[in-house]
Amino acid sequence: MENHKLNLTISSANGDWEDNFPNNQPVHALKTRAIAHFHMDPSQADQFILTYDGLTLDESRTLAELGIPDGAIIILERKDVTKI
Amino acid sequence: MDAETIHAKIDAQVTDALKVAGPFKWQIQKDGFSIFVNMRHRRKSDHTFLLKVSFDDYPQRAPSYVFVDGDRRTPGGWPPSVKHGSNPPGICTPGTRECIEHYHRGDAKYQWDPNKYTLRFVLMEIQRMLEKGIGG
Repeated sequence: MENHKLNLTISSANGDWEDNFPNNQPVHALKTRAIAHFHMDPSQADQFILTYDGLTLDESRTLAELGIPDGAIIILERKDVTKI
Repeated sequence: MDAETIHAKIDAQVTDALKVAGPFKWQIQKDGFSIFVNMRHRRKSDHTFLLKVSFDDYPQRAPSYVFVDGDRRTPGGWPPSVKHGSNPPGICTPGTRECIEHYHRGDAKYQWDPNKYTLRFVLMEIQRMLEKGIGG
């Protein structure tokens, strides 16, 4: 599949990050980059998911395979309710 | 702190939350020192729940987060599994007044921090509780 850059906004509880991302990048790699960008603990990466339009993105697939469009807002959110 | 400054702080919180309102399908309205948020499950249902966030005494105290009936005053219309069992009615998640001042009062782990527990942060927590409670 041809490699394009997508302009995406990754939004988390802690802020937003707009940048260009290759559409052949697996979602897992995108999540790793986002967690680093937001200075989150990488050991807790499994507790977070990326969602688009309310759907959890399969981390083994690429942005292109999932049909993520240019300009999309991707949410980095906790997988489960915070236990207190 | 004067009312104008408090309103500016509330407006900043609303502006920040509005950046993710689209993906979460939130509709946010400000009414004095309160804001009202229409929330719903993103994938399952068009049924909406009305959350009232009261910013009185903000930022010294955490805002109160309570689901309300259509009259916008009476606690009610709670999504499944979101309401805490104790009084006052509220939501047990970090950053709500009910959690910090009642359910976990004195718990050093959940001290009020307006820079950490932003409106966006708490709404995202409540959204997750709402969707887990409804399921799917």
